[in-house]
Amino acid sequence: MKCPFAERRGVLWAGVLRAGMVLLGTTILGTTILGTTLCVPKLESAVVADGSDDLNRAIQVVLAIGHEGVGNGPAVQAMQVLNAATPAQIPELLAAMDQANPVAANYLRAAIESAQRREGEIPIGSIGEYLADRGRSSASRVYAFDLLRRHNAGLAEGLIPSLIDDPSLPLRRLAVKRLLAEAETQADPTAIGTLGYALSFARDVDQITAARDALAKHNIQVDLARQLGFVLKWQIVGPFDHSDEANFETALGPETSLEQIDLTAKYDGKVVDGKPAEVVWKAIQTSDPTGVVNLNNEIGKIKSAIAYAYSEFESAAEQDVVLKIGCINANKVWLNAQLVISEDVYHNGMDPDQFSGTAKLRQGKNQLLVKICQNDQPESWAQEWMFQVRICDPTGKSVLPAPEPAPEQ
Amino acid sequence: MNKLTRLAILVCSFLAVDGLRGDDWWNFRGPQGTSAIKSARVPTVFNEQQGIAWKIELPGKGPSSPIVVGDQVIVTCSGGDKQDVLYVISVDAGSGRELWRQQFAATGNCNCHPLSANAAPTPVSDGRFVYAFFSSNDLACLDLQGNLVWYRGLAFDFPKARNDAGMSSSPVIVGNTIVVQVECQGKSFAAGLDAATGETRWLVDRPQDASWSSPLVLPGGGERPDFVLLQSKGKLSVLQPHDGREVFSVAGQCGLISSASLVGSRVFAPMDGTTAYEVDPNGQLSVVWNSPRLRAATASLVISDDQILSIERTGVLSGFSLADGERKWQERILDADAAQGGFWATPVLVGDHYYFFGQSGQARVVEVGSEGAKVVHSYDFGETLLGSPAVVGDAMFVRGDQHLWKIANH
Repeated sequence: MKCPFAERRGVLWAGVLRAGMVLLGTTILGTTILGTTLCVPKLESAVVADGSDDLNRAIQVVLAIGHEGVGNGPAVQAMQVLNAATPAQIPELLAAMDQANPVAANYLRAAIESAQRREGEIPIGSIGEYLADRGRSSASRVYAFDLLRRHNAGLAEGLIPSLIDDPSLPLRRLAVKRLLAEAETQADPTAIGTLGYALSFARDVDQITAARDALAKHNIQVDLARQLGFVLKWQIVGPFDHSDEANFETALGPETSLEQIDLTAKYDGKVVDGKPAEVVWKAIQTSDPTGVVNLNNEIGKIKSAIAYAYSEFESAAEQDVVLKIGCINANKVWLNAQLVISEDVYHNGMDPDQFSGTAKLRQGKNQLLVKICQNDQPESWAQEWMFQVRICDPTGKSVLPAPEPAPEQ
Repeated sequence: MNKLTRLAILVCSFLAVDGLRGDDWWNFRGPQGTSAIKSARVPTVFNEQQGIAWKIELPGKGPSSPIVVGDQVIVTCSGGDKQDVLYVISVDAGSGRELWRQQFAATGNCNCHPLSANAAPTPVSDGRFVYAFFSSNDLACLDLQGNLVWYRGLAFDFPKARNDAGMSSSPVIVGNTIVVQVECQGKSFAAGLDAATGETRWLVDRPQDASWSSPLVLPGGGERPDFVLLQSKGKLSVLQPHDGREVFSVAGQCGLISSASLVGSRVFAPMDGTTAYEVDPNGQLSVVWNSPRLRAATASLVISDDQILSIERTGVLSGFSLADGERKWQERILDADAAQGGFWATPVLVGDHYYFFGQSGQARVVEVGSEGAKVVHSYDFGETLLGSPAVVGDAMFVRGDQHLWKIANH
């Protein structure tokens, strides 16, 4: 920023320090008169003398950025220091990214981008060490890999196979992608081995599907639904009324007794053609390989309607999971009566991992309830009423129900 | 930021506005937001042999338009398998050499229609800084050396501000406030951000319905202060840019994709077809005429001194009277090739030549008169074209999914 008042780094630092400390709730004596403070020569010379301290202080200001623009003002000043960073300072900036929220990380990322354009040796070794540290944040390691790839493509490409079991899913994705490509050039049985290996580590739906498709060409069938953790067996009930999109937040039918879902219950459903309807639970099992349940088929092509779907999930142990729903209609998902996902959005596309929420499975029986709301949009592209749910562990691996115990003899 | 620095930046910004504005193309649909420019002289014939000064590769997709600030052509792109890598790139307008590139990681939802991309909104500049907005609701302010000044992740603040088909509203600058319009079925809002720091000056809720249209600045003059016009599915609103207060609104069926234009004190809004309004000093709109038949499709209307040009999905170009909205002529200008796949980019009118860009990469140059039009040149860019071009002086900058072209004779 070319501002006549902001050319001197010491001057800048007065502002950054002041702003940063104010941000931390610290009182600074004698700083109320801005001009006076900015012209303290002692501060200026002291700050200029120690570039590393400058950088660290600027990093701390950026790391203090919060939601809704909190901390942006001081960060603007801090960026005047960070934007002057040298290639040698990239490791410090990368290290800070590890502690940064996504917005603050972009400030640091931009500073590194500016630094790597400057003359000077890029510290490839340090960046590589950073990448190798799997305890660092995924986003910062992904960026470290990107940096490495731009400045030493050979080294970065050589590292890709080692990322196959990386906890960072974007990095793991690179290794899976490489294997899928290699398999295309291989013959049986090598290709089958490569694809099987890729499949065992893949976590993204598109890559798992690609591996499944490739294996099918080698006459190997993969149960995609099982591989991805889709729930296939459901009890469904509906339609309930949703005129004027009025009942997204209204508890209807089974939602009125979340703690105790009664599959023998009968409910007052939506009035269709002037006739009140009693609705009851119906057991279904979808045959769609990605677990899609089409409610237009199962309940009927009814607009302004709500359906509920219920499934029980047996877990061998208490465990953290991520529930993922793809749904082209407004939806809610509860696990054991706890609301996990709530999305009041209609006909905005559908993707298996469109919406997600974290939850905890208890050991034994778990109750999964989904509410799917259809609106009254008349357009041809607004007629679908469907959903798909899958359960994964925090690394994206499918979580499958515990096997049912063998019947007693 | 200290007050002196802020003041200096603002002074510099205003000087820049006065000194540089000229023929630059700093925002979506050009200096007047009409997609029409009289003074430029762009080749009407361009192909591999002539009329293409340079062509460079881009690192990602984007329906966003390029903008031109001084000698820099600035374009946004998005890439990565999940459209989560955001780029802002500056290219020397003369040589096509990349001057700088900045990149970020998206902090919001990156889902969008496969045809679209995260880099859908067009960036805007005040001549000194660039404000790059993305479908994921990431907003970056960069200086003209590519250094980051500030960054906001509006979806970091409001995760339900998302549309899985993608969002595309382009920000505007009103005085020293950046106005963004984020309208979807989730968290919908308009916000005014301090141009110097990105801090929120105001934020107002907006209708929870998807809209891809862009705000329109109603610049002050005489007794009239600045206002900003927002177009939602069911209403037009006029807001005060310093506090976001709505001073006027009118209900009606607005276009969800095409955006309003301003000529003098007259607004042409895609409302109930098209409605022309006169803006008074208090930001009140009064109807001048309404034309139900003048209905912008995905592309916004192009407005010259004496007529409104509208192209229909069928490939028929029509000229409507600026005075009363009545159709004066219509001409089929697109054959099956050009119309294939439809079109999204708002065409531009340079002098009396209308430049059309189809989704399939087909371009047409159409000579437009007061009584009709005829195609004078055709060219296939060979890749998906979704962004409206920028025009400055004797050059037009066209961006596709993979490349940026300069259409000029040198």
